[in-house]
Amino acid sequence: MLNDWFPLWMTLRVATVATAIATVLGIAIAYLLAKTKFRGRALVEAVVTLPIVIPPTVMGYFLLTALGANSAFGRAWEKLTGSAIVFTPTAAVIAATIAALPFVVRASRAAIEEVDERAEAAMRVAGHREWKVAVLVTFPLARRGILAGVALAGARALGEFGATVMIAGNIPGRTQTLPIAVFDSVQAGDIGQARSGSLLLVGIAVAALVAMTMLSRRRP
Amino acid sequence: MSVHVHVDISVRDFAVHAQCDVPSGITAFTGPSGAGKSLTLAAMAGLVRPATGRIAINGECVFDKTQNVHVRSQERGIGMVFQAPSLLDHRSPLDNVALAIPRQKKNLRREMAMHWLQRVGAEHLVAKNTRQLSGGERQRISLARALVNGCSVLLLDEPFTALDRESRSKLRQLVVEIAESENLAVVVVSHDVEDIVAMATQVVLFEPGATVGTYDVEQGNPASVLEVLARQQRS
Repeated sequence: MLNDWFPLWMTLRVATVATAIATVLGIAIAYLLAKTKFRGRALVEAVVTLPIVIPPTVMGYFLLTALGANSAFGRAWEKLTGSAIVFTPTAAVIAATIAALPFVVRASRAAIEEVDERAEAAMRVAGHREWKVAVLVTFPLARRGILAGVALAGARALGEFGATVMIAGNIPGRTQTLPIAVFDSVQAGDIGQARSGSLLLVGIAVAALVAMTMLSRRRP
Repeated sequence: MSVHVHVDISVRDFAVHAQCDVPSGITAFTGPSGAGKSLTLAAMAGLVRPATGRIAINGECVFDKTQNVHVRSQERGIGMVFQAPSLLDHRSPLDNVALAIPRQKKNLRREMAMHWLQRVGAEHLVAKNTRQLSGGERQRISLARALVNGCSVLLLDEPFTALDRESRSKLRQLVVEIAESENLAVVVVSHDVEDIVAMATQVVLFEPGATVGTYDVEQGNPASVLEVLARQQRS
């Protein structure tokens, strides 16, 4: 049993918010990539996919550079809110969102491209605007692929470690998530705590994946 | 009701030059596969933008390359039915028709949808599961969906191909009746001589990459249609 439940609570909060943001943002990016042609599309796709292929610590380094107190964004944030963005729960959400985003984008894009164009064309010819065609036809017909991407994104957000520790730090009771707490426990030789934390994370991830798979199979 | 088409369409490595005038009644686009019939239909609907030329619907220009006019599909007043009835399987047949009506209140949309489902003889399908409909039933729903907005031009892209003989015959009859009663300009893409004989009052012949002629035929008279089709074989 865990001695401190804060890391679990923090992990669930961060993963939920990050998955929600990655879902909205990811579906919008996927739709643009699937449906529109614009200069630099390949570059956008590469940048969005980058978090899958680069080490999380490298991603964390870039985030630290982009959001830190010396960056333009960091200064603007501090001016606006009165405090730095790094080493806060918000920073943990940003790290988890960026780590989760490519999973939503890739799965959603493939699903959107698979949608029968004639079903979309029928609604377009009937007089619906593009956004309405997307809401009425494209997203409902692509929902299985989108949900699969969201499930993977949620699992990735739950387990995010490298970038989180770089930009949110490891502050017990403030920014420490469960994966970081597991690392801490191993470092401290507390194998029991590490085992409990690890099993909890695996259990939550499996439950989330099973739930999403069932949801995506269900006919609306 | 009429459509004037004089365009060059180029999509990837395929090009078609299409020239025809479609009056009220039923015009059949026929010719070999890959001749550009469906592409011409898509250009008429505004789903594909031609490289050059002009399209006018009821005298109103909806596409003109030189004047940079391209009226969106949404605003052309066209109804379209595809070869595979691309319905939303997760919605009821009634919803499939009602959802095609933009900018109306839900009750009115459902009333209008119900009216057209009755017109196409599909009122008994309203509460059915869309997934369980037969090919003919799905095509009736597609037809109601295409007509529900009060279009003046109806485009049918090989709508009967996947249907059995009986369903084909009933749907042809239905299209002929509706075209007459609503005074529509209907274009039907078909390879099937029976479709053309039963429905068409005009035939536009396609060769690969171009239209080669427009011919009046006598609806229901096989001889007049076969005479036109023979020209295609001779050319």
